[in-house]
Amino acid sequence: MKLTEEARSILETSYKHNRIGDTERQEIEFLIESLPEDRKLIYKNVDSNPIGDLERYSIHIRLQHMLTFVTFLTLAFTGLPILFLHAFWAEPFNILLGGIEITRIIHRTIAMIMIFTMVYHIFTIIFGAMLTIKQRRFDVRRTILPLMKDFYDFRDDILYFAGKKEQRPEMDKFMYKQKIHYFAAGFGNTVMIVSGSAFLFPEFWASILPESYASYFQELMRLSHPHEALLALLVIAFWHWYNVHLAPGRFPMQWTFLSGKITREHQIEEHFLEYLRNLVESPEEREQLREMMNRKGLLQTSTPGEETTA
Amino acid sequence: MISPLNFWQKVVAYSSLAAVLIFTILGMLAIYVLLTGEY
Repeated sequence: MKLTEEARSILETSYKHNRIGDTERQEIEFLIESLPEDRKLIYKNVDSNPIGDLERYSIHIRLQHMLTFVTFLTLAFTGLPILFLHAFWAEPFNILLGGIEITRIIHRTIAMIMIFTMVYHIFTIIFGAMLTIKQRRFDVRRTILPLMKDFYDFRDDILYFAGKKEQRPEMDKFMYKQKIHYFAAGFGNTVMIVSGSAFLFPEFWASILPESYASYFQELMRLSHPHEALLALLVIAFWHWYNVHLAPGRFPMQWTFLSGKITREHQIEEHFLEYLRNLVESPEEREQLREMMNRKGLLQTSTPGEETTA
Repeated sequence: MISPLNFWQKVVAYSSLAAVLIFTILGMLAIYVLLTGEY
């Protein structure tokens, strides 16, 4: 397999970060060279554990997802009967929880947990980034920050789905879709927190806003809160759940949110650049890939010595 | 090639899939109510 410029650069950075010696480097280069050009052949033929093969999310990220998961659903299901408190279905729901006042208290308490989760997440990413910078292993391409490459990946992926390209683009740990989704969620959370706080602390907002704007701000927040919630529900139900449950290759469920691991097949298909880092970081992964590809007769045997020219 | 799920993995995966589909239907009802104001 011939590497693209981007993949080559990722590989070189990873060699540097992992302090890879010459012998190991030659071994990695030789393995990559003997892989077939068509990545589909690789990911369709490797063996994967459905629960996951390669590390992806730390326990902190998994905990944050779990907290967001639970608070999101409970906020949606306590928020609706508060908004439609006189509806026939809302009344028994509120009575079940102990009355509208109790539903409100539950809604606000869970909101605090959601805000805590967001703060916890911001701390995790800041300290996580600081740690990798200190260890001299930081690579912005491995983060969720949007880069120009994501625009090209998006275009190339659409071209692939339209049958105009042979292969999907080589994407990094976070692909364009995940980046859009992540920032949409971040924006949504901010809107919900600001608008929710406007209902809880109207005096505070009135005190910091110009007098002529304060009431407009309140009205805007009254509109934003339920409509942003509706948007979030739509995104979660149609987009996120499709991607992690129903999409071909993920059905019936992707386990990453529990195990923190991604399947080898998925990593090679959608996060090939991250897979290259996995190959550099883990001799076991190289051994397994070599064994699997050999077993299927997919390793191209090139003459040893050529790899040193790379 | 992803290996097949064992029994308990199937239980977890399909029950959460079922939960997701139920929540989707409830979510759609909620959206109908929000958009039309009819309930």
